[in-house]
Amino acid sequence: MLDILMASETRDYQIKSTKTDIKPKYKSHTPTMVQKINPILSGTHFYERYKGLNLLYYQQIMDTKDFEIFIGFVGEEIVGVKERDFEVYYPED
Amino acid sequence: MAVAIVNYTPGIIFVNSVYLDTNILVSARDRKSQRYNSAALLLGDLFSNEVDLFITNLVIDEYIWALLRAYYRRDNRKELNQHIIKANPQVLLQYHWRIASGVKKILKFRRLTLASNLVPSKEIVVKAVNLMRTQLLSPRDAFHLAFIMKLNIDGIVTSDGDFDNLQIRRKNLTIYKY
Repeated sequence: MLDILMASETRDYQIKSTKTDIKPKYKSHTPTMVQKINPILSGTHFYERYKGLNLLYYQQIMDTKDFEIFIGFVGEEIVGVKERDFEVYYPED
Repeated sequence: MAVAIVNYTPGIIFVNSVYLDTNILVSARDRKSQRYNSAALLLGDLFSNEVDLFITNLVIDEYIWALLRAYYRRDNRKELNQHIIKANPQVLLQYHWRIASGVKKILKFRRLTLASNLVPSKEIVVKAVNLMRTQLLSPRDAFHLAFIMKLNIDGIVTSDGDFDNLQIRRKNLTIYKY
């Protein structure tokens, strides 16, 4: 179930993403942790998205549905939001 | 009763209910943001601790604006402003599906309450205007705090310092900074 969700989500993301978002390079030194979760998606793209997150730990302690929602939400965008983007009263120029 | 500021560290124990400031949602979603890692870790801890999460329409509005500005800047190498949108409203459509996708995923969070309708609007307005004076908050932050107080939410998660100097005597509020 998890593999299906992640594969589906990533495929959807890659299709709709702009060209600057896609980094389809796959490297051989992908962490074992990621490979255990989903060998198909064990690439640079996947690694960059979830680096620093102990997915196996979260998978163990979270409810399954929570985990699916969590990994589907975090790190999907690559836009470089800045602090000023949160300002309600944004400068005109 | 007082306001407590807690710097987030992984594995921290949370209060039962927290209000999510916009910045954690955006930062956890954007892996190129400066706070991505801490925001994502924090969100993971909120999920795993099964904390009740609250937002309002204001948070969604701010989430949309933050990402719109970032998308536009990335693609056009200049800042998005009201003049650009008024001159060419089609700009909004360019990024709509991505915005909508993100919002949809937020609304799927379990234990998330979109609290805008839980308190009569008139009460929120009166409270917010009062908080602007007593807490020296900007209008928008005063509205966030008005919801927090009216709904008796235990904490707020945020990266900015807008709520650091609150002087609230009638309620315990924990501010989680990341």
